[in-house]
Amino acid sequence: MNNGRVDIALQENNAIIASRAKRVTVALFKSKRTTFGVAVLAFFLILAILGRFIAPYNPLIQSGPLWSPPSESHLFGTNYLGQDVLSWFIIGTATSLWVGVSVAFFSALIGVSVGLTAGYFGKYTDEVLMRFVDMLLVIPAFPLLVILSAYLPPTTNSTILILSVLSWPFMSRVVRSQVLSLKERGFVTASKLAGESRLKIMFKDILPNMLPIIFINIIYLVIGAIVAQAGLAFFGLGNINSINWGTMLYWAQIEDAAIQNAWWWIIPPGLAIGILGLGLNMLANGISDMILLNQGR
Amino acid sequence: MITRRYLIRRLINVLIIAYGAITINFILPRIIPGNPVMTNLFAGGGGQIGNPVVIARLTQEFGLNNPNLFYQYSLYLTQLIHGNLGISFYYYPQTVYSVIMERLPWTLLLAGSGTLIAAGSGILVGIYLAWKKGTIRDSFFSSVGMMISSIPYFWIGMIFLILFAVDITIFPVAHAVTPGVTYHNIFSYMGDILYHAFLPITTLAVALLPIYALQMRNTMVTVMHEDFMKTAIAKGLPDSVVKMRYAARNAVLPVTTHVGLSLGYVVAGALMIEYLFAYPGVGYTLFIAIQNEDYPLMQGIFLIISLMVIAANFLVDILYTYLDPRVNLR
Repeated sequence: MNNGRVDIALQENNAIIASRAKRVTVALFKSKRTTFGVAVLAFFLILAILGRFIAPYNPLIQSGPLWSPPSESHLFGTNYLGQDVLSWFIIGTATSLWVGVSVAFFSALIGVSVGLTAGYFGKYTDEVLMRFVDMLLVIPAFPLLVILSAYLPPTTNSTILILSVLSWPFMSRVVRSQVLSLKERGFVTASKLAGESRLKIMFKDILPNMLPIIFINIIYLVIGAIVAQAGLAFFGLGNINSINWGTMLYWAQIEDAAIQNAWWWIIPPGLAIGILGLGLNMLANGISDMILLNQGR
Repeated sequence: MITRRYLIRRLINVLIIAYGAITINFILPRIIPGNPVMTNLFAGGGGQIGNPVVIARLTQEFGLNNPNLFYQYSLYLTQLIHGNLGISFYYYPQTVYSVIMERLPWTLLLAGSGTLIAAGSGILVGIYLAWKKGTIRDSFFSSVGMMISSIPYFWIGMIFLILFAVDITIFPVAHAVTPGVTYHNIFSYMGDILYHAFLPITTLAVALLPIYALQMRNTMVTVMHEDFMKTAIAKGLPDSVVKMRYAARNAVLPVTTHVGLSLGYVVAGALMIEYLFAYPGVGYTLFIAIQNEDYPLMQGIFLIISLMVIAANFLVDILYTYLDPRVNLR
């Protein structure tokens, strides 16, 4: 008897989740902005995953004359070593996205944990954690990033580690303020009266209600990390021999591509970061509008 | 209004943050195994292969040969109070402090004028976009703004270099003044400085403008939903008055705080742009320090820049409470 009831409850639960997923998907494609965002994201993801098969040349091998402008055989031209810029760009997409996604994942993990803890436990825990967060928010991140990268071995993983360690404070502030408002709500009080443990309340009652806002901030983290990695690479930090959008700009600067008027080498990575940023921003804005609409209902 | 109690509390807060930055600066090189400063000195970083004078100074003034971290920390703080940030490997025998102070004015010129121009024009653009909210122009320019604000600053600079310094050589590609020129008077000197600073400042301003414009637009759109706006329109006030005196004026104050909070970005942008234009500020020096493994100089730059941003942030905060009569903090 009891088992049967649990099964039915589970089925209902699954049905609710499925219908929610359907609703979210429908809502995402209803607005032009979010459709654009999803399309841009999908485009770059495909480029990142299938890059090795799409790239016309091996990016590390000379495949044409040096400094040649875009032509039929080299759509984005060649660089100072006669390497194909389009292949550099396509292969580089994977590393750039990988850095963005992993940094977003790790800093979301830290940020959500810190925010939940500070918001739910309050008092001294909150005071100490938020002082620390304030400090990290005020200290300018870029010089700190530079110093850390200079001390750690120049690998892509070091870059991911450094960016993750420094990117979470804003997320924790957002989560904390959400927790502060959610924990006063009726359903949390109900769980408390029912004798639920603190951990259960935090993860079962409070966390699911913040997921959309966490997701929005993860989007901002992704683009922030991609831009920051490009900035570090531009300064010659991190693994400058890896192929990504940042190192493309680093070598372009080192080899004076701007002075050589080699615009075809400079434009693709910067423009790609801009378009990806625009797409992700639109996605985030669209989702936050959806949240506002839901709350209005 | 601002009370003395609030001021003191803020001041204590700022001092704690500054102390944090100072301590981070101490801990960072020491949590990495095999003290890179000393190792590097013997491995030949910055061209100072075991220079006895440098070693003597580092061991004597900073106690780097003494494994007791508390002893090192107390020495570090004592030296810091005396303005001693150590000696630069690359610019030996110059001290880190003198290297930074020599270059700081150029960075301040760049970051300061870039912020002022970007904030001023960004706020105007934001007012325009908020007033035209929902039109094609608004969504077009807002999208362009979102795109520019996620592009790295130095990329915009590279494009400007190609457009205005290579294709058509209107502006110089590098340096802050023309090398080896003697000036007849102060005006030709100032003119040369402005001529060289034009592209770097423009790059920074163009990169920052969308951030302030979008902030202003979004804040003003929220303000425009408020009741007093309806009253103002119902009273039959002219559009320009409703727009500037009612909507913009109430939206501009929160944007001021944003200007303060974005100082970290401004500094980062200025550092990268200096390197791009070989502009002799702190950012270019930071690049030189990285390339030559000059760790004392890197850390000195981090510390000075952090302290300046922390102080500027504090000032903007205080300024804000003076500007906005609604803020009543105790």
